[in-house]
Amino acid sequence: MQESTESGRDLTIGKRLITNFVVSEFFLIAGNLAIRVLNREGILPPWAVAVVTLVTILPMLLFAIGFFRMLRTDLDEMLQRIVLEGLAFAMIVFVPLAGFYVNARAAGLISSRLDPPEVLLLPSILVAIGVLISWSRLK
Amino acid sequence: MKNCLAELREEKNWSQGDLADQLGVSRQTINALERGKYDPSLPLAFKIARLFKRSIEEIFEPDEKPSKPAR
Repeated sequence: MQESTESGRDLTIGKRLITNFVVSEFFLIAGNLAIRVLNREGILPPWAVAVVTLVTILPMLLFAIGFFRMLRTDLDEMLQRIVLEGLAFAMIVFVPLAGFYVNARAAGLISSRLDPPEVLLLPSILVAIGVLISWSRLK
Repeated sequence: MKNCLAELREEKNWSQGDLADQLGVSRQTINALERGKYDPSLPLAFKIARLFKRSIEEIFEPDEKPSKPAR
């Protein structure tokens, strides 16, 4: 009984985190699309577009605060380590990859532009891969 | 690091969840500790030792690996 309660609590934390992340990521990407359309059509004045921009990042900001709080208070030391190793993995892969992209584009080797969904989703996908690798080592 | 956490827990007839609750960690952490996949922090090791009324050395045993000579 105790085991199922504990697992249930962990599951709730994970579920809440993923749901919040998906919702805030959706707001960010949908907001980006809306801003581009609004700018192109010139429907709203610049100050209103700036307000829309701020509104679209608010859910992600709240998610970031929630994530930081969860990391510090809800997770125990091993789960903290798993998440931090996931973040470190993402950093280790993302930074050289971003550096390569920037320089390769500057050198004219790559002509394609990255779209916001790719830019926004890649770090989170890398964190998820890093967490899975770390989790599988400790499982 | 080897340990006898599983034996100590079974002596008390506790589930992994029971032990996790008493130590304030997740059941997954207890599972990883018992299987020797995760080494606890010093505060957690002290907590475990206090709970079972043993010394840390009685519960945890370091892996015997020859250390590299200092250059």
